[in-house]
Amino acid sequence: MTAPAADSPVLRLKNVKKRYNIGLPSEQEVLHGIDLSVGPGEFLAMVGPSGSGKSTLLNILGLLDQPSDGEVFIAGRSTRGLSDGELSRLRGERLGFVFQFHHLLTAFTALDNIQMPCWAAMGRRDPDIEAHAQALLASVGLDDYGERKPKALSGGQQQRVAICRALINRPPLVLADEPTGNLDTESSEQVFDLLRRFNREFGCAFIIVTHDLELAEKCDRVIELVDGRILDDRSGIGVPS
Amino acid sequence: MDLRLWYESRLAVEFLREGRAQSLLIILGVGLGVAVIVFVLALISGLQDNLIERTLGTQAHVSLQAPEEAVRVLRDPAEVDIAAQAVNERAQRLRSVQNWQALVAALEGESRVTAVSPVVSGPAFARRGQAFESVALLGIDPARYAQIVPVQEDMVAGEFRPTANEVVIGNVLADKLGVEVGDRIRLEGTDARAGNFQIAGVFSLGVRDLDERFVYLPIRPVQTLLNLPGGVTSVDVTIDEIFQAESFAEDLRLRFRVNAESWMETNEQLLNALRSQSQSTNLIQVFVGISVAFGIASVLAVSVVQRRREIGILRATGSTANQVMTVFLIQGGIVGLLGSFLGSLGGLGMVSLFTALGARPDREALFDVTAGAGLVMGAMLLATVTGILAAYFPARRAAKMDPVAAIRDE
Ligand SMILES: Nc1ncnc2c1ncn2[C@@H]1O[C@H](COP(=O)(O)OP(=O)(O)O)[C@@H](O)[C@H]1O
Ligand SMILES: [Mg+2]
Repeated sequence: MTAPAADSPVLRLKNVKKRYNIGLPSEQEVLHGIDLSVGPGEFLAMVGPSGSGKSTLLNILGLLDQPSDGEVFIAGRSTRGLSDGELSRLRGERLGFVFQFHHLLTAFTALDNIQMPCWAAMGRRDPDIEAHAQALLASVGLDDYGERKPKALSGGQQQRVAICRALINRPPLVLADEPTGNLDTESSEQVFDLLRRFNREFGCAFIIVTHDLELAEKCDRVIELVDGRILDDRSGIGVPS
Repeated sequence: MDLRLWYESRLAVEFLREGRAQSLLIILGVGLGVAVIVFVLALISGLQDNLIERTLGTQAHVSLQAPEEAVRVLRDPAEVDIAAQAVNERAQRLRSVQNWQALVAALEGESRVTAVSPVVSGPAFARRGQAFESVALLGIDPARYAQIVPVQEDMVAGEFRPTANEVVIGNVLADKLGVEVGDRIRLEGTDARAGNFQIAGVFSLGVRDLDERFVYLPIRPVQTLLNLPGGVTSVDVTIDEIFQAESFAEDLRLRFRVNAESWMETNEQLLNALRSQSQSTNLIQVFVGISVAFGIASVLAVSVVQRRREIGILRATGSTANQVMTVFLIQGGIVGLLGSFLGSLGGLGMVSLFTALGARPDREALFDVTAGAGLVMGAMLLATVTGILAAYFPARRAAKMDPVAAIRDE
C-alpha cells in the first residue's frame, strides 16, 4: 500500500446510504446519501439526536458494516469489493475503535488486550509491541495496571485501556462511539483530554460520537447528523490558541 | 497465515480457561466417551488375542500333508480279479508327504517361516494290563516340535523328552491307563506292529481331546509302528505373521504342489465369530464417537452465543473471519485432546482393575496394559480430529457473526 499524500483525506464517503430490512414492510433508510471527507489529524465530533444514524455511520466508516449505496474510501482507496481478509487488515492497521462499553476481552490482561490488534495482524507476540503497549499504558496513567484483567479495573480505567488498544498500531484514524457515554463527568473529561492528547502527539485523526455538546465544542470540527443527513458541518470552533 | 496459529491458540486456550466449569464438564464428557471406547476395545482385543493365542498354542500356522488319494478306475481287467462295478471312494491309508526332507529344507530357507516340524502321526492302541485306549501317535523331532507347540511348558510330571523307548503322554490318558512317570505301556500300531515304552513325562495342554489321545515319540519308532518307513504324514510350519497364514498356504500349494492347510481355514468359524465381534465393537465406537461429537458441538455452540460481543471486538480490532473460526476449531481440538487423554487413562485404569479382579494364578492376564499405547494414541488422535470436526458448525457461525450486531447490544 502506498502512503497517501499528506493532505489527501484519510477517509472519504461518497453518497453513502444505508437501508435496513430491505424488501420488508419495515424497510427504512437511515442514511440518505452522506458525503464526508476527513483529513489527516482532524479532531472531529459527531453529534445528533438519538436514532439519527451516528452509530450506523461510524460502523460503515469503520468497515464493520457495508453501505447499501455509495462508497467508502480509506487513504484514497475504495473499499468496495474487498475480501473479508482485506477489510480486516485495513481495520487492524488503518483504524482504531473505541466503544461506549469499552469492550475489553475479560479473559486477558490489560497489556494483552492492548496488543490484540497487533497479534491478529502478525500472528505472534513481539517484544517491541509489548514495550510500546506498556508505554501507552504509562502515558494514560496505568503504569502498574498492565497485568490486571478488566474486571479489576474501574470503568474509566477500562476505557483508557481501550484507547491504548485503538492506538497500538498508530492508525491514521480512530473512531470513538460515545466513548464517554458511560462515564461520570470527571472520567469523561480525563478520557476526552486523553484523546485530544493522542491526536496532538501522534497526529491521528479522530471521529468522536458524543452527546456532550460541551465536549463537542472543544473539537476542531463538529458534524451534526439529523435523520440520516448532515445538517451542519462547522469548523474551527474549538481550536485552542 | 501463520501455521503455528499462536494468536488463535492463545485465544482458544484463554476462552476455555475463562469458561472453567463449562470446559471442564465437556472435557470430562469426552473423557467418559473415550474411556468407554478404550475399555471395550482393550478388553475385546485382549480377549481375541488371548483366544487366538490359545488356539494357536496347540496348532501349526500351516500344515502340509500328502494329497488325498484319488480313485483310479482300472481299465485293464487283466490287472484285477473282478472288474469294478461301482466306484467307491477309496479308504485313505497313511501316506507320506512326497520328498519331505527337501520340503523341510526349502521351508527353512523362507524368510517368513519361524519353525518347521515334520510329524508322522496315526492311530494306535495303548495297553496297560486290562486298560485299553485308542490313541494318536505323534512321531516328532522334539526340538523342532517344541517351537510350534511348547509342550515342555505344560508338563505336569517328568520331562518332554521322547526317545526310542520312552513316550510322553497326556494326563487324561495317564489317568485312564493308571500310569505314572517310569511306568511302561504297550503301543499297538498297524499290522500288529507293537512295542513297549516307558513313560518319560506327562503333559496337560488344557485341551481334553489332546490330553486324552496324544502320545509323543520320536519320528523313527512311529514310522515303524505305523508301517511308514522313512515317511512323515505332515510338515508343520509357523510363520511370523499369523494372519498371513492363508496366503502363505496358497503360495505353498502353487509352488510345491502340496496339500497345505492354514489355521485360518481350520478355524474359520472362530475367525468369523471374532470378525462379527469386531464389527459390533466398531458400531459401539461409532455411536459413542457421534455422541461425543454432538456434546462438543453443542457446548461450543452455546459458547459462541455467549461470546458474541467478544467476537465483535475481535473483528473490529482486525481479526479475520477465518481467525475467529480457527479459534473455535482449536477449542474443539483441545477439548478432544484433553478429554481423550483423561479418558484413555480412565479406560486403561478400568481395564487394569478388571484384569486384576479377574486374575487367577493359573491363567495369563487377559490384557497386557503396555499393549494399550497404540490404542491410546489412536483414541487421542481420533478424538482430537472429532473435536475439530464437531467444532466446525459452531465455528462457522462465529465467523459469520455480524460484528455490528455483536457490538451493538449491551
Ligand atoms: N440492525 C438494524 N436493523 C434495523 N434498524 C436499525 C438497525 N440498526 C439501527 N437501526 C435503526 O437505524 C437508526 C439509526 O440508528 P443508530 O445508528 O444506532 O443511531 P444513533 O447511534 O444515532 O443513536 C435507528 O432508527 C435504528 O432503529
Ligand atoms: Mg449510537
